[in-house]
Amino acid sequence: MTGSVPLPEQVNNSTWHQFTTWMTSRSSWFGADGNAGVFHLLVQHIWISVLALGITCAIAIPMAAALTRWRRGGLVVTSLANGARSIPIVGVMLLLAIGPVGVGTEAAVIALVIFAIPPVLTNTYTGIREVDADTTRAAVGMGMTRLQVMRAVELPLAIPLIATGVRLAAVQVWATATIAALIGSGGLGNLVTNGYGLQYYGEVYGGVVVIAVTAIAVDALMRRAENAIRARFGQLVVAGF
Amino acid sequence: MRLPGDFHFHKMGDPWLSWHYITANSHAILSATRTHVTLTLEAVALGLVVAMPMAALARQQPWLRSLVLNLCTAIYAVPSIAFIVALVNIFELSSLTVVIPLASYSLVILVRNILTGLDEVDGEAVAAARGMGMSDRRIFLKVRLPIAVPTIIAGIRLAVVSTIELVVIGGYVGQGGYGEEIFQGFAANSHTQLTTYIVLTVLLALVADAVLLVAQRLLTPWKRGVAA
Repeated sequence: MTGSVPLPEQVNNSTWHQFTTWMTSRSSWFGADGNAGVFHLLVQHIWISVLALGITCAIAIPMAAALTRWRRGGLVVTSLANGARSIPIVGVMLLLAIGPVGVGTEAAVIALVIFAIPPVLTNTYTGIREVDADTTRAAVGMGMTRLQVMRAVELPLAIPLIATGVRLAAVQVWATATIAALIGSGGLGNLVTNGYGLQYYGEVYGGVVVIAVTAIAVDALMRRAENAIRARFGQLVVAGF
Repeated sequence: MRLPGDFHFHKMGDPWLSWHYITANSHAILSATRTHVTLTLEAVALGLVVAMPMAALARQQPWLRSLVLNLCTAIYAVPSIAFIVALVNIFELSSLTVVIPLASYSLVILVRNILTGLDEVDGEAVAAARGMGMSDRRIFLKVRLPIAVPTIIAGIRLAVVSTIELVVIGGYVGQGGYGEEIFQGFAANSHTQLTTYIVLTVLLALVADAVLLVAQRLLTPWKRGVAA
């Protein structure tokens, strides 16, 4: 080695070079040789998140509506919210993966749903409880059944707060779905785990950029959607967030 | 698709929880607890050190305030695993690899609570202090800060509890604490190890919350009897 002629790996091994190579190569975005590209992983990520958010809403909104009809409902809602905050979601996901569910999308979606329920539940519960008692009394006076009052009066009036809950859950689901890569359910987290596994930091940093940008974009988009819904369905005055 | 570790299903003699496991591994549990607590405290302490000047800056101008708060929210939106792995190449085995991301996440809670706490200070109390001839510096230290303390400590409580949960992700890059045991349990396909350390994480969060609640009561004797 003369020193004036650098070996190929000496030229091309800087992290910055790896990063720019990864960012500009077609295969990292569109995939190659059986490796999924960013766009494929993005679709997986969207699929996991939408599925988890849909299931969350299907469980949490009726559950919150039912809990408002129960004297101890508030206690259940606060304990669930406080309890979920201290449970490590990675642990639960890994446990589901080695446990009865097995590795794959199911374990990831179940874990995501468990942790997305509290924000939707709390906000829906508060939204329904904040509905003016005179309004519901008027609805009952008009001859509505309890179910009709819930469907036609209380839930529509709670929409602004439900939107806040869904927004918080969506941002959380999108961020946490990254961890789902650890249990083999794909998504954008694959870029980071794959790159880290191969010690290929070009892919790691490329993945970090893609993940951070999409996460911030989802946050901004959901805020917009929430504001649009609030503007459309009126604003209830509630503390927090 | 690459999976971390090998998977063996249908393993026998691996209960969800076992007292024997806890007594047999008490040494490992204690050392993991020590690391977990240290990482949490380092992260929240660093978060506080950064949050204070940020809050002070945010109080200067309304646009700075929204800039600071939006910055904190944006950082918070970045998934932790991406943030942590991004730092592995820079700080390698140093605990900064997890401490810096977790401190950054705690900002969203700490900055907001410091601001809320300082906003709560009554204008008349400040005017009275000024009338007594206090300097701005003394007013801040003797009037504003003590009145803001309950809200700030409530923020620290929230930050500590959520950091305890987030430290677990550090286990992915081998950063000690309960997380490392959880990832090892996953690789070894051990239900016992996973559930034990998940339960320990929850217990640690509950204990930390209770301890900080007591600290909050002791530090603000004038608030005693008032709901937190």
